[in-house]
Amino acid sequence: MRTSTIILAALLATVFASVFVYYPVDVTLQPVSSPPVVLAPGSNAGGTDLGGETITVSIGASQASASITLHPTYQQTYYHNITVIKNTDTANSYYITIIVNDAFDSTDGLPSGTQAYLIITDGTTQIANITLTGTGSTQIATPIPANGNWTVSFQFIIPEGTSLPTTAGASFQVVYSPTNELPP
Amino acid sequence: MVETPEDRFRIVFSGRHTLAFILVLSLFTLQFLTVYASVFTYYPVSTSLSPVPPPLVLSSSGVPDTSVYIGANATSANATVIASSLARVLANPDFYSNADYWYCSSSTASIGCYWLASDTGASGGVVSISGTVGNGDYGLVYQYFETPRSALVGGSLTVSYRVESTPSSLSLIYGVAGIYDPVNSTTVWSTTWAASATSYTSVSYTVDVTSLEPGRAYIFYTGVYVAFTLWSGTLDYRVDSAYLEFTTADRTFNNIVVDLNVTDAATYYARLVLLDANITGAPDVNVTIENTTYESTPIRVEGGLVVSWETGWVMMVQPGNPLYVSGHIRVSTSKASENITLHLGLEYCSGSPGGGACVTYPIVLVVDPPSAYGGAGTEAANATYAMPVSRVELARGSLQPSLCDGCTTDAG
Repeated sequence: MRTSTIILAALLATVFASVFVYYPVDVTLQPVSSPPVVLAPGSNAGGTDLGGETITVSIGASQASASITLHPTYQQTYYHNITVIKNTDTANSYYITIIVNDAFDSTDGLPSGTQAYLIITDGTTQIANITLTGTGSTQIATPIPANGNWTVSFQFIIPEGTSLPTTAGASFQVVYSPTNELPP
Repeated sequence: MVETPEDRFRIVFSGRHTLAFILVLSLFTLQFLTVYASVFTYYPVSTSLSPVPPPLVLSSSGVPDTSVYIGANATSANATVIASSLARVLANPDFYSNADYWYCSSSTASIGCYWLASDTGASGGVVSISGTVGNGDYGLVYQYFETPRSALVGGSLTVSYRVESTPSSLSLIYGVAGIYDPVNSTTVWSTTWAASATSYTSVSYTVDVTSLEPGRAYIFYTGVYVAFTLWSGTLDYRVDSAYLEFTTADRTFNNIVVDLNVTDAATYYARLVLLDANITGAPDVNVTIENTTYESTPIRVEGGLVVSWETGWVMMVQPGNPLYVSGHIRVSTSKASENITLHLGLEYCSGSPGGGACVTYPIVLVVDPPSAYGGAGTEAANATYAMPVSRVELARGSLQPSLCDGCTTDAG
């Protein structure tokens, strides 16, 4: 009995020996020097903000990122056309998804009841109204057409009778894809 | 030999034909797989807020027949106006806490108009018209007003004044008051009285309304005229209040209701938007926004129907003189019935009309409810007010009405 057990163990050891087989696969990256979808300053970027401040919109060197600083006050403050999502592809449309990673919330010191929205229009029609006080993904149903421009506006509603924080921050991602599916 | 369909199928799907077909099919499919592959590109965007205190704040105008409640941060208002057949048309008629709406005009630069926080025998603040005077000199305080938009039935004026000092005991000093038509540059009504009271005294007159048109802008003035003095000297004439009232055929209200004040050095552009309206009856209502020189096109309700839903844009800047405000919301109504409620949005923008950052404040305006609120803004209602500023000069204008046509220059 003991002998047969040892033989079986030896056979199994042979089956699961450290044998590796290598198949070569080449992955070649060919970065697109001109991304088909880019971010650009809106018509109100650099304009006069409340309190003598400036509506600051910094677009990354490759138009693939943006940093925005705004100065709202109590009640409703609307910032129209702050950035633009531009599809420079002359032939293809792309699906846009907004992923809010870091929302405006109470940890920013904003008063309870504060509302913040990111509003996207195609120039005349509003096609998305996304809350910035909660995280999550929102895919816009219709793709941005070839050569299309979508304006990005912001709306803030801060209830009066509260104190205002010095600063508050939120971050989101603009995701584009040729396919109509939620990004991972 | 005849080739049947089965033969052709066999030929196509056999040998090198099959390989060619699979290759073409693969390339065709691959083309679409490349275009529609699940590729996602992520662009990060960061948004930073640095909230600022409200650059435009609201306050009550304090005019009679209004009741205005201002929100905690002066960014909302709930205003009630009482429409009646008695229209008190002057803003800030009692100078209680400031000299808002009033301007100064005089015959010589040596005569100025000054707001004083208090005076013996006065209730609240007064205006002092004072300086070195000679024969024929005058000093006036004046303001623009609009007559009610209904047929004028009658009018009255009551002025409370006193004389603090005159150049000499033989001086002939007259109190003057009148209504001036700035369009036709004519005085449409005036009155005078021998100003001799050294403690506050009220004088009242009936205003002849035959030359006044409903719904028109006029200037009311009151002040002092030196008919005769033996020598030049110091005159100090003080006005505690001036109430100008009209009775009208319909129930009306026409006055400023809410004051607007810009708190920083920037320029803003403001307008009013009618968001919702609850109207009964068939009243006419006009709501406008105005700065110190310009009144917007109105939100209009005619016969109970909304004709215009928004005003024009008006520029708003910080007033140069702390005695004044940047602008006002004005309401005029006639044929008012019960329960008119207008939900307004005061919209102002930092860059240009509709540009930059645009802020909207909610304003609820109620016209002619049951008279539960009484007349607001009277001195009695503000009896506990204490103003630290003791003497502030009014802004100067250049009003030159015909004064004191019937005044004697004979010192007797």
